[in-house]
Amino acid sequence: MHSTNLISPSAQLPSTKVVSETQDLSDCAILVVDDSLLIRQMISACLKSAGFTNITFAENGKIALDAITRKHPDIIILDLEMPIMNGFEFCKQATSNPDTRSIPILIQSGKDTREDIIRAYDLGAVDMIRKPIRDYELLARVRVHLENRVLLQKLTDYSSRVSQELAAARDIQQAICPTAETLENIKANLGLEILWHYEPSSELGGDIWGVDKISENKIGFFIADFSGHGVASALNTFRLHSWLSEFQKEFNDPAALMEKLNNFLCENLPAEVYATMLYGQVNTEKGLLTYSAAGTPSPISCGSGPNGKFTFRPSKGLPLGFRKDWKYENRTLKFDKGSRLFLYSDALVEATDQNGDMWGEQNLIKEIRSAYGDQQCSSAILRHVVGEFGKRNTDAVPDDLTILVLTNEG
Amino acid sequence: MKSNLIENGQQRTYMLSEGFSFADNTLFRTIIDEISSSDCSGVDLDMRGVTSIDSAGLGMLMLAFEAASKAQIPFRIMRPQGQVNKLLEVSDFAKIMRIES
Repeated sequence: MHSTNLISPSAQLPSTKVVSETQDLSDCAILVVDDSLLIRQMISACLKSAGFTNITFAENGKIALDAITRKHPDIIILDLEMPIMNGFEFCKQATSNPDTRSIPILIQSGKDTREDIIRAYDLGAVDMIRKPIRDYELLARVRVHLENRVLLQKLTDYSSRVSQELAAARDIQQAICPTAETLENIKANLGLEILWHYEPSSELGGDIWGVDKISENKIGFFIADFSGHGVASALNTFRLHSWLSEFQKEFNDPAALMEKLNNFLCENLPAEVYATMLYGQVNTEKGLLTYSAAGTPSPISCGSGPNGKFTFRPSKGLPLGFRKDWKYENRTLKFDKGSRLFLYSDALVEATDQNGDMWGEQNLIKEIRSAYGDQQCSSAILRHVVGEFGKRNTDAVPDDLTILVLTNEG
Repeated sequence: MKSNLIENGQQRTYMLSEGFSFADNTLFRTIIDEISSSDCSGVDLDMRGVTSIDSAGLGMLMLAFEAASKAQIPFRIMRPQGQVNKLLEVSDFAKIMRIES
């Protein structure tokens, strides 16, 4: 540019500070793009006088484009009229590249017609100052955009860290569920096949399930869902898991276990937080399954023999954590060879279709009966139901889905 | 969720509608605060227009009941429908609070 467009100093105004109590901007990388050596030197002197130390230069848009591809500056101070590649073309190319799109571009130019200004903003510039440049204006605007960039970078870093931590927490949550080895041992020693499916929601959730051998001929199993979503719900699943690991084997009576667990949760959960849960035990010697429920979706069981038919079983019960010393009920089913029990979290029946209609329990049992009728095996049922659920949730799953299928294979 | 308050003398009726979920936390806590600080003779939550409720919504109903109990104000849940009614039933809420169909 021409030497008439120089920086106009304003001695009466204090310099804009680049170090505040919360942010030190002095090391932020600034790229000055102008074909005039004099302007580059003047802008550099202005920036240095305010304490900026990391300043680089380019003589035209093409050199600048190469430079920002190699190393991203924190801000670009850009002239519009330059040979080889002008400022408009530079803006267009820089903002069309996802890697460089977020770098703020501050235009400094003598081109200040309405069309020039609109075009510059349309092509991705964030701000514009007219020549002759006033040093206090340049510094104030540079500082504002650098502060925004630093804050945005901190927010992005934080968001990325939280995502990584949530992913790690989700992995840990899944790791506390029974291992394949545990399930194989139960199948080999007690003849009980346990199939499961877990599908986490887009965020951390409050579903958990488990199974453990209690004695030579008995296992305990459970499925639970803490209210709400997020980290707090997930932490509560760890709390439940840890309590069960310590106390489960003391109980031969599921209802008694639920009552003690309920008191523990009443003492440790906030007032509005609770868990729905079904805890049961299978005695393979007697061919009986006893369970106690606290507001879970209705379990579905199927007896052995040719007349066996999948039927809903009651699960009425106050969710755990609401009322201390609440009484829970035991319910017992015949569970001999060939019997099956299907348990699921509410996400399954609350899955909605395109019209917003929930799938519902009646459709679920219809699909289970249909899948069982075709192949008479638990894995076919599980596959079919998961497939039906998938048809209703093509995007992110809104809630955790847990399904357990217990089969007495004898 | 939407809420519309109808005051009939000392009786307060909240007409609730649409889905009731965790997203309604702020709105419903306002209702709970109103119940806590009210000198009314009774609070009804009319849920005939509520199309669905999630686990967080159920927890907030319990909070509203607790707030009314603490203030010694009679509290009723009125006309729950469909999935809402089913969830209240399976959760045995009728053993704790008045639910009228």
